[in-house]
Amino acid sequence: MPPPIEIQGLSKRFGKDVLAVDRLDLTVEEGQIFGLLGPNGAGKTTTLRMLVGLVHPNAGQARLFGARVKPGVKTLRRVGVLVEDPAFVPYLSGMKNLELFWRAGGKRMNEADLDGALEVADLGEAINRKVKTYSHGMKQRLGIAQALLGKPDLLILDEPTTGLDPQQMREMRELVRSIALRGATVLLSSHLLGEVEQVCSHAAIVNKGHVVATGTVDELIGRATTIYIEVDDVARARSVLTKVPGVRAVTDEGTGLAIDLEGIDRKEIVARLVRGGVGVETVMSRHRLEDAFLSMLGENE
Amino acid sequence: MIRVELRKQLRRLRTYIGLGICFGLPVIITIALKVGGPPHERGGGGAEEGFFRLATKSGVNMPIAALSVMSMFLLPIVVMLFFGESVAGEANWGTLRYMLVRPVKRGKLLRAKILVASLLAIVGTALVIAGGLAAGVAAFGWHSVITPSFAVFTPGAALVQLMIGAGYVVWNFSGAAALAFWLSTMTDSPVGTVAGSMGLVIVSQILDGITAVPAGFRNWLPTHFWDAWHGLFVVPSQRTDMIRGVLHQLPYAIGFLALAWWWFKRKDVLS
Repeated sequence: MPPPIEIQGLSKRFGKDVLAVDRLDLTVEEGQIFGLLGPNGAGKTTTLRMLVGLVHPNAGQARLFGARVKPGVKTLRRVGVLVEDPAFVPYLSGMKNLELFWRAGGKRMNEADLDGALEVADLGEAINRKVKTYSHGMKQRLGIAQALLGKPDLLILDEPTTGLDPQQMREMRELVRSIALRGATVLLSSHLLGEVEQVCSHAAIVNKGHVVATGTVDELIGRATTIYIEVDDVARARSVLTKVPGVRAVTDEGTGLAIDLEGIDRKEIVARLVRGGVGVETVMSRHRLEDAFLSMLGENE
Repeated sequence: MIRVELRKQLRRLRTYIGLGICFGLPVIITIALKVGGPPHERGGGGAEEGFFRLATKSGVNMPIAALSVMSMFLLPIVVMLFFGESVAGEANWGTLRYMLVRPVKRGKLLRAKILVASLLAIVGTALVIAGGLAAGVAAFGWHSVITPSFAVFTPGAALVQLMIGAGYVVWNFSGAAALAFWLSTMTDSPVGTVAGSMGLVIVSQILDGITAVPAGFRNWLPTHFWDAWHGLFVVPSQRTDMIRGVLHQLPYAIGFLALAWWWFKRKDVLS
């Protein structure tokens, strides 16, 4: 069974100067909630646009469920898409927009999961109002609903929480998780580390158009080079750690210590502390994915 | 896809404003003529002026006069709007990308948009005639038509000629409309497409009106044969220029549509 998404050597250049995507390789396996994480301008949206046939790559190829992507390719039937902002015909109601979007694909309305989509949109009577009267949050929900009309096997979401308030962001994250629980694969691009960390099972860190690191979110966090520990004797711990090769710096942080590591595993740090007679209560990555992200981007500079 | 496009257009206020102008202006002109009386019986002027001078003689003269005056400027604006806005409008809203993430070939989308814009152009032209005829007959009665060349047609015969003329008028827009459509695939500014295509129409009409410009050049301007349908209202009927006019639009229409196709199929949809 081919993976839902397979990208090999994908490149896109705009004009002579802008290399938006540079030989990008990526595979998203079935059932994953995959985060495409990178700073603004990293090439995430261009990659997604190439993935659904909106933008023509200069080199490489993208495959959806094994089929090479080109404009209008049939496998797009299995894909729900929200690219950048949701967009609708402003003078039509939310309901009419959903209907015309679905019919434009040559399908009858009874083939759509309209009830499921309306439940996701959660717009109540407003679904019959003109879209131009909607708030951004309402449009965002309608956009997700539209993407879900065909009960997609793969959902591609580009910055789905942009412009939402904290409550709406949380609801959106829960929605993405619930969609994945139904069996869909999700590819989610974001520049928000917390979002990817909270929602995704796997992630790729993208910078300057190519993948810097990829793996499970836990693996990526494991590559973090700064950890935070809480111990029963801070002074003794500092004394032990300053003698350990691979510890670049030890700084007080609240009730614990932040330790910058270079070429040493966090398990080794814990072992050294215990051998030094220090009781270790907590060990965690200080900024979790953020740390990994910044560290990997730094290495990529 | 065609039905979806048609439903979108039929729910737009812009469509009804455009079509309303097509129907309403001949009615307003008729009321003005009825209230103000017929224009001075003086010679000179173009064929459209001649038709207006005779407009009060028969209600059937009104749609001929209305089509004659509107087909040179106002009707083309409405038609360019239908064609120019079709793709650019979707790009402007951002809905183009959502149309294209469906399993739909880009060519199919273009075909649907061209067909619906063509249908609206035909309806717009028909409404000019309908408005002129309804108001004209109500104001001036159902009489034989006297043309500027003093040919006389029965009302029925005049209407048949007018239908042929209307078909010719619609076809004559094809070159400029194809340009508007090509521009529409290139930009997300609907106003720009209308301005661009109407720019071609206006420049062409200006150059065509300058007799110092060589005839060999003027004969190839896209608007050169636009009023050739007036030849239907002389006796004997003069259709040579109409036939040339029909053929004349072909390279423009085919050329610009081919460019639209070529461009859109290769276009990176970034809007």
